[in-house]
Amino acid sequence: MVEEVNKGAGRREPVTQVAGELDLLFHYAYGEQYRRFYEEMRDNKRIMGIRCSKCGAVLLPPRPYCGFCFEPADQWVELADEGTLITYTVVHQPLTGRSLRLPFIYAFIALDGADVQFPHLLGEIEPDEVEVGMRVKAVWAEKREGALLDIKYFRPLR
Amino acid sequence: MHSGQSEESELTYLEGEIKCPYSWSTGEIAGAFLESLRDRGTILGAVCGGCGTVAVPPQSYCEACGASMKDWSEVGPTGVVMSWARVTDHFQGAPAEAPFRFVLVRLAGADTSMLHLAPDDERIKIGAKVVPEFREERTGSITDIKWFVPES
Repeated sequence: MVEEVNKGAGRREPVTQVAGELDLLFHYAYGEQYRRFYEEMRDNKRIMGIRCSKCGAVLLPPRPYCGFCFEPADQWVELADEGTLITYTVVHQPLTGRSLRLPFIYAFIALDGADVQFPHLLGEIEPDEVEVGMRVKAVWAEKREGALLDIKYFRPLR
Repeated sequence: MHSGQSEESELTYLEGEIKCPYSWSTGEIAGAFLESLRDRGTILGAVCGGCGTVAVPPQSYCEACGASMKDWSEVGPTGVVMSWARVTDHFQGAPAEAPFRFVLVRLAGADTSMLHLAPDDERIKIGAKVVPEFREERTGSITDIKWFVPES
């Protein structure tokens, strides 16, 4: 840390800064809906949405209340691991805490059967080949631990 | 990122970490203090232009009377332990491996106490005489002093 900043500076260089790093460890409680959502991804490679009891919207990731009409959402629905690319952005800048190789493509995907978009990564495609509206399919990680990256990325369906 | 699992293999939480790298600008006063640690292995105090208080670590303005600091004064290396606390368990961001002790050291010639570390040695107690142990490789940081050890 300190060595990083002062490395290369001769011993007679003035001291003007001290480098450090705060590491903030956290636990994010999944709750009932995220627990089942991630267990299904981990154990069965299944993407589960949840249907609103009033307006019928299928929500993803699942949540206890509908974001459209605020009624309880309680009916689990299995979704395809395929969908349509709604929009995307190509990330060229490194972000602290992100170890992905640059550039990477961050995408909003409408999975078949869902009424909301799902944010994830695109892979097996170059940035200049991406087209809004293209069909994509999830590529599952071999080792899954119940987290969003149990899906490695979505690849184009050709 | 990892996920927490109970015995039934139920997912109950996501474990993550946010890293926040930073650079702290020392300013003129702390910069000179750290340079003297690095280049000469000496500890500098700042002398108040109003009341003569010697502050270690140094500050631009005197905490006792508010006047500007006017001069440097080398202090120590011997100091006296004013207070201490024993750390027995590791905590995130701990500055040393447990067990160790935090100490407030009043260096010879100083009027204020400096927070630093000491080994978990029963001789480290209030009133004990201690001396700094400097690192061989110094970078211009307060950790250029590894810790304070009992004066032999």
